[in-house]
This record gives sequence, C-alpha cells and structure tokens, in this order.
Amino acid sequence: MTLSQAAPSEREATPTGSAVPGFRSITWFALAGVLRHTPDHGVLAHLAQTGTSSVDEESGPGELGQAWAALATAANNVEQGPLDDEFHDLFIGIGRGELVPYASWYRTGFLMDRPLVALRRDLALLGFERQQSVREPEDHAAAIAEVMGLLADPAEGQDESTQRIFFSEHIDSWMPDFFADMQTAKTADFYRHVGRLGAAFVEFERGWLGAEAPRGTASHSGVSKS
Amino acid sequence: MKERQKQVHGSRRAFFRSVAGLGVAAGTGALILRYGSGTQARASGAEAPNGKQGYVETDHIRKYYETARG
Repeated sequence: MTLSQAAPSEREATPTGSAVPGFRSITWFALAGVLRHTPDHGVLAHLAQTGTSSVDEESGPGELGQAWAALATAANNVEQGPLDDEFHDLFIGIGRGELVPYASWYRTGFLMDRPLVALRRDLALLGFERQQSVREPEDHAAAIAEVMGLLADPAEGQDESTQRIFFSEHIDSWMPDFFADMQTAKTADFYRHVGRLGAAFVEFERGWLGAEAPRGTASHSGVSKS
Repeated sequence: MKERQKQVHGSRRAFFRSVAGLGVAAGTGALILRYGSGTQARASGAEAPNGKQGYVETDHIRKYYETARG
C-alpha cells in the first residue's frame, strides 16, 4: 500500500500517555543530527546526556539501550577535529565518501533515481519539502530521518498507519543495509556507534509499527569496494 | 500487539521515559521543512528562490520524470 492509497478509516490513532512516541521522535532527530553534517558540541553533549542518563545495568533495555549507551560514551570522548575528518572521509571524500547515504543509491545503484521520485511524491502528500537553501536531495538519510521524526512527533505527527507506510517504503527498504555498512566501514569510529544505534532502532521501529520485514536485501551497497 | 508489549515491558519503560524527557537537540540546518498539515500538496507554481519561475517541481514535471524513467 502507498500513502495515497491509505484511506483515513484505516489510519490508527497514535497512543497517548506513553513515552514511546516521544522516544521514537527524539531518536530519529538524534540520527538526523549526526547524519546531516558533523555534529557540533551541543548535539554531542545531548547524545552523551541521553545515553548515560537512560541506561543502567539493571534496566535491561536490550540492544537498543546498549547502543544508545555506547553512542553516549563515544559522544563524550570524541574530539571535534577527528570527527570532522571522519565525517568527511565517510560521507564526502574525494569524488565520493566510503558510504553513499542516499536511498536511490542503495535501492537502485544510481543517484536521484526512482526512489527519490517516489519519496518526493509522498513528501508532497504529507506536506513536507526540502528547505530552499538545501542542495542535498530529499532521499539523503538525514532528511528521511528528519521526516520520520516529524511523523512520529506525539504532538504534531501523523497516525501510525501513515508512519508504517512511510517507514516500510522509504526507510526499511534500505537503511538496515546502510547502518550495517556504517558499522563495518574502514574509516568509521564514532560512526560505528551511530550505525549500531541506527540498526537497533530500525529493528525496534519495525516491531513497534508492525511493519513487515523487507524482502531480501537492498540491491546495492553504499560501501566503496575499492 | 504482542510485539509491542514485549518492547515496552518492565523496566524498559524507564528507558523510554528518560530519553523522551530530555527533549530534542537535533542540531542546526534541518534539511526538510513542513509546510502543510499532511493531506494537501503544495500548489504548483510557488515562487522559487530569487524569484525565478520553474524551479518548483510541479505535478507535470514529476509525471514527466516518472514517464521518462519508465
């Protein structure tokens, strides 16, 4: 089912009175914040605080909590200069970085291909567009994480049926591979922890939204083989 | 529902609460802007940066791209 086919009657109300919607939205924004560009001191401090204050030995939050804790430790210890270099090597590089953080690349092997067209169609339906000053296509991982954070926002987000469709079509179809590549990328250090959190969180989201697991694997890996 | 109950069972709720309670610090320079309430597409022909027309991807242009790419 696509977003344009989803009838209002099939949409569910977002449950209230739970911390989970807020947790989901914040985690998507945290991922967007580290994928968009090198995270600044404020973002790193927030990541460190979030992870260290939320996990203890007895809470048993599973892989998701452990991934948050590991990222918090990394955010607390990383220095801005090396982090700038790591971001550049991973996502920008000379010609291209080790990872190519676009849905079209992962799903078709080409930049700005049909997945971007489909994403733009759905963003228009949902009332989103690219900031005018932004040159990155909308299928950049950070942009998609921003959208999902807005959709999951407990105050102003969309119903969970809409979230599920968007998640299945534009996130679960490629981000598991993207985050797996990030965890094994040669130039990744801090970003290995980002990849771990991303992978655990996408799995959590699949379960929370009741989305079906993607069929097979993405057609193209973003990791440079050279 | 069973999957969901498993995800929030026991002390995991404390984990969700503590993360949710810290609020958002997503950094600066968001890539995406929300302009609508979620059901209406923006009217085509909106003014583009520097006042140039034709920059905004209209339904017509989008359909052209989809057709051209098969």
